[in-house]
Order: sequence, then C-alpha cells, then structure tokens
Amino acid sequence: MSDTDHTTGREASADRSSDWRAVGGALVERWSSLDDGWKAVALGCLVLATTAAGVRIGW
Amino acid sequence: MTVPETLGRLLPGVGLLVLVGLVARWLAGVVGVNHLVVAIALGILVANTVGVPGWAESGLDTQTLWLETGIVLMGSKLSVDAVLESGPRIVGLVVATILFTGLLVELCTRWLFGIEEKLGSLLAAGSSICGVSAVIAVSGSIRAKEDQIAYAVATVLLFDAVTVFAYPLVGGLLDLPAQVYGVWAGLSMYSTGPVVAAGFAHSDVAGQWATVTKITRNLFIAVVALGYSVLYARRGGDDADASLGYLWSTFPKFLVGFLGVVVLANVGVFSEPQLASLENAYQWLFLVAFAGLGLSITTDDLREAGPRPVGVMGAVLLVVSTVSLAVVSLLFATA
Repeated sequence: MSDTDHTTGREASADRSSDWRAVGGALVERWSSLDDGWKAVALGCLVLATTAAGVRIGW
Repeated sequence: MTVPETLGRLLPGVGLLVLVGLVARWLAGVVGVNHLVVAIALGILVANTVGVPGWAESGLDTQTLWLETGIVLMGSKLSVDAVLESGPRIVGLVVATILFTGLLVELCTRWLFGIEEKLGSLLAAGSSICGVSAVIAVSGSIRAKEDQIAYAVATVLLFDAVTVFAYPLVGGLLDLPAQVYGVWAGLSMYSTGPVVAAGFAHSDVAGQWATVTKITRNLFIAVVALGYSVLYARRGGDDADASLGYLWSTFPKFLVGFLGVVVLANVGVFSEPQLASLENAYQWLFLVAFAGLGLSITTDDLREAGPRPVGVMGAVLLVVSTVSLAVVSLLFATA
C-alpha cells in the first residue's frame, strides 16, 4: 500500500468521524430546541419501548 | 454544542439527583417514611446546608423532564373505566375550584390586601391552575414585570414546600380514603410535582388520582391564559398576548404522551410483567424528579415572597382546601 493510500484512508476516517460529530451536534441542537413536554413524550416512548422489549426477551 | 459537551454539562447534576434519590430510598427504609417525601426533604436539606454546586445546576434543571416522563409512563396504570366513571365529577370539581380559587385570590389581592393588579392575577393563576407553570404562562399573556413574576413564583414555591409535607400528614391524621385524598390534593395544591409527591406519599392509588385530577386542572391553563389575555387586552390595548401560537406554547405537551400511554395500556398492548416494569420505571423517575424538587427549594428564594402575597395565598389555601375536602368527601364517600 502506498503513502497516498494511507493518507486517503486517514482522511476518509477523519471525514467519517467529522460526519458523526456533525450528526451528533445536529441531534443535540434539535433536542435542545424541543419543548420540554415533547422531550418527556420522546423519553417516555424510549423507556416504554425499552422496558416492554426488555421484559419480552426476559431481560 | 457537541454530544460530549452536552453530556459533560448535564451528567454531574443528573448524577447528584440519582445520588440524593438513592440515599433517600435507603433512608426511607430506615425511618419508615415514604421515599418520595424523604427525597424532597433530603434535597431541601442539602440545598440549604452545603448548597448546590455550580457544576450541578444544568443537570438539576432536568427535574421537570423526569417528572413529566414519569407521568407519561404512569398512564399505563390508569383504568379508563375508573376515570370515565369519576370523570364528570372530577371535571366539574376542577372547573368549580379554578373559578372559585381564581376569583377569591383576585378579590382578596385587590380589595383586602391592596396588591398590584398584575401580581394578583399571577397569584390567582398560580393557585387555581398549576403553580409555577401557570404563573409563567399567564405572565406572558399579561406582560407582567420581572419582579412581579419573581414574587408570585416565590410565593407559590413557599406553599409547595409547606403543602408537600402538610397534606400527607393531614391525610394520615384524618385517615382519608385513597381516592378522596388524591382528588383533594389534586384540586387544592399548587404545582404538579408536589401534588404527585404528596399523592404517592399516601398510597399508589391516591398518587394516581392526585395526578389525574391535577393534570385535568393543567388542561385549563390555555383557557385561563386566554381569559387573562382578553381581559388585559380590552383594557390595555397591546398589553397582552392572545395569539394562538402563544396559547399553544402554554399547553402541557406531555399530556399527549400520557393520553397515548393510557390508550395503549387499556387496549391491552402491555402484559402484566411489562406493566409492573413500567410502574417500577416511573417510580424511579419520580424519585429522581423529587430529589431535584427538594434541591431547587432554597430559603433565599422563599424569602423573596412578600408578607402580603403570602398572607392572601395562605388564607385562600385554607378556605379552598377545607371547602374542597368537604365536597370531595361527600362526592366520593362511597368510592
């Protein structure tokens, strides 16, 4: 593998990491802008789904 | 803000909430008192002795989120049949209490205590609907000043701190049935958190009735905000905000989730073990929320309440609490 390939691999990895950071940042921004009541609904659905699935698989 | 930054900002405070909740749960087992009441008391003790460190403040602000999420999940325990059976009586009582309390506070503040009109309206909203949330909602619709909002919030917090301990004591002394106690607390106490805590401090059934009654009261927040907007707009021109957007912003959205979970549970989506796990989940959420409620009550904040607002709210609370207990006892005596 040439130096160029290594460089390209590192750049691709850095790009992916940067993409994930951007997605995470956007999600945090979206969550922060939500009304508190909708946050409770979202979190309630998450706990509901996790609990129901957890009991079903015997967790 | 990135995900690690957000977690770094929130997790220390949330960790403190969980820690206070866990200690309260252990302590409650030792002293034989309801763990939710102990969580609030322990929170108040910590906040007013060692104080809440600056690094924990952002995380402590999440207490409302845990409370509302807990209420959403509590919908899984409600029987639609029982609610429909008592529903008309509860709605009637809620409407009567809102009108009676609101008018009584308005009249007492203006004519007996000589309190400014807008501060009187904020106190009326706080006592008749849902405590601090109603004060904030109506403050926007009547464009109240910052110091009026601070006075009203401090007064409501003071009565929240007193009633969350006094109601379970009175309920125990009078040996009130669970439904009577729950509906009474839901009708006459102020903010949602203390109502839920005082309800569950009596029993699970009382906690559920207290929550249902309180959130029925909360549903009227938009109506009251609209009423005040119209009232002040007619007198002061641009002195109010009655836009649909503003009114929707005052609506407690977590009730949508609560109603959704009530429907799912009542059509039989969840099995008994799943319902038991959900109950466990909302009890933990309440524990963390009430640790936060206690940690947010400081004597410095309570001192901001002036003697006249405290006087009028104290007198009105005594009247409303006594009358509502008598009426609820009559209506639900055989339940």
